[in-house]
Amino acid sequence: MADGRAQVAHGLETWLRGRGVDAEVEVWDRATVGLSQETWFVRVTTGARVIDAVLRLPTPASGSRAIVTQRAALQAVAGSDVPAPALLWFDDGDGNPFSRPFLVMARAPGEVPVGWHDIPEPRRTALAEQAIDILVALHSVDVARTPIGAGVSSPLLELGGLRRLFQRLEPLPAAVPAAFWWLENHAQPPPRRTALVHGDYRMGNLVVDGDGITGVLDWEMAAPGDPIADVTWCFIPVWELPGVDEQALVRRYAERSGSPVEAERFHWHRVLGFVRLAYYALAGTRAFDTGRSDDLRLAALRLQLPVTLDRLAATLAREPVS
Amino acid sequence: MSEGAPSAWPPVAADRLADAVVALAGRVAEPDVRAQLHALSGLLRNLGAENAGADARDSQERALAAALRDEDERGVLEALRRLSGVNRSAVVPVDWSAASGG
Repeated sequence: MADGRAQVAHGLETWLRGRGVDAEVEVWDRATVGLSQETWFVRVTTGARVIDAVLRLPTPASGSRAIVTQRAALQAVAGSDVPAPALLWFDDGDGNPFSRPFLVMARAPGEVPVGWHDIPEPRRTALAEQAIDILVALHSVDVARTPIGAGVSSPLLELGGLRRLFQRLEPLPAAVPAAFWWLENHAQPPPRRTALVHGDYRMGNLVVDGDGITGVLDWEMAAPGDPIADVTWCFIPVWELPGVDEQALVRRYAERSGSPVEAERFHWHRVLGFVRLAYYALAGTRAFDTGRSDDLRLAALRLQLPVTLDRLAATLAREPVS
Repeated sequence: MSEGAPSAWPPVAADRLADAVVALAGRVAEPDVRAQLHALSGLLRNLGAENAGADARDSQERALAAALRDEDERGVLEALRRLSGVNRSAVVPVDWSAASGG
């Protein structure tokens, strides 16, 4: 098939057979996710057992580390109160039919809303509270005792790493170096505690089924880090404003985690979050402009850049974002 | 080309094209293609808008650079706020729910 479904199905069947699993694999769809990893929806039939699953493969843009980190994160949260998909099979190496690492995880039932604004009240608030409770559960995992304990943070989550990433995209909008100047002048001391941080915890990575969150997806940025980074990112407006009572949700996080959320640290991470969003917009734009991708959604990300930078400026001025 | 000069063919308005692309998206079954079409309509609606407010942008960028040079935090934040307002006011918002979900 032109889009590679047959090759993917054959590859997984071959790999499973090599491990004594006689399975029939059907690939029934592929998610289109721009520069992110390849995501294939598969149905694996072994005898009378039918498993709806998701196969993920790295792309040159994501790098192999994305898959290996996800694998380690899914193992780290298995058995906890975090509703992450069960890891079914994985291969960290490249000696497999795909010639690159891959993982297969159970498919969480439900849909992934675009953002919080997509969900009507009162479900929105109820789901936002659930999201906070899941974050509390995630941050209570003893990260040092997990396969991810020795991992390093993604450059997207750190000031120095983001600065290096932006350097590849120069010339930059004037707001970006100004934001870095502010972030460096207001750098925060190391966090009081280090937790297992998801790194991209937001509605666009949560599976919702009815009134419940059934899955937390996209763990490729998971690492030991400052838990406040996840709390700020949870409701940052990637597109439209989330329309949730953020202060109440932050209070809920502090009460349930037993960890105070320091206002200045929260503010700093929020500024960093908007800088990160600006990076995504610029990187997507550049990928289209240089011909690395024909995805028109990446081309259109340039139109979100002034919106994001305006929200960044409002945040720096401690004004509400619009 | 000077304004008002005769053109070789009637120009098409970007907004009209964008509306037509949204209408086309409504007739397409494939979610990914619908999403791509909604993104395209957003691009069409904003064609050439990146140059709007060039004088105001230039002035605010110079104010921002001066404040950074002076390490004047208040001046930086104020110039940044004005500059971002100029840039954002040029954009016609994209329907990202449609462009994301198809």
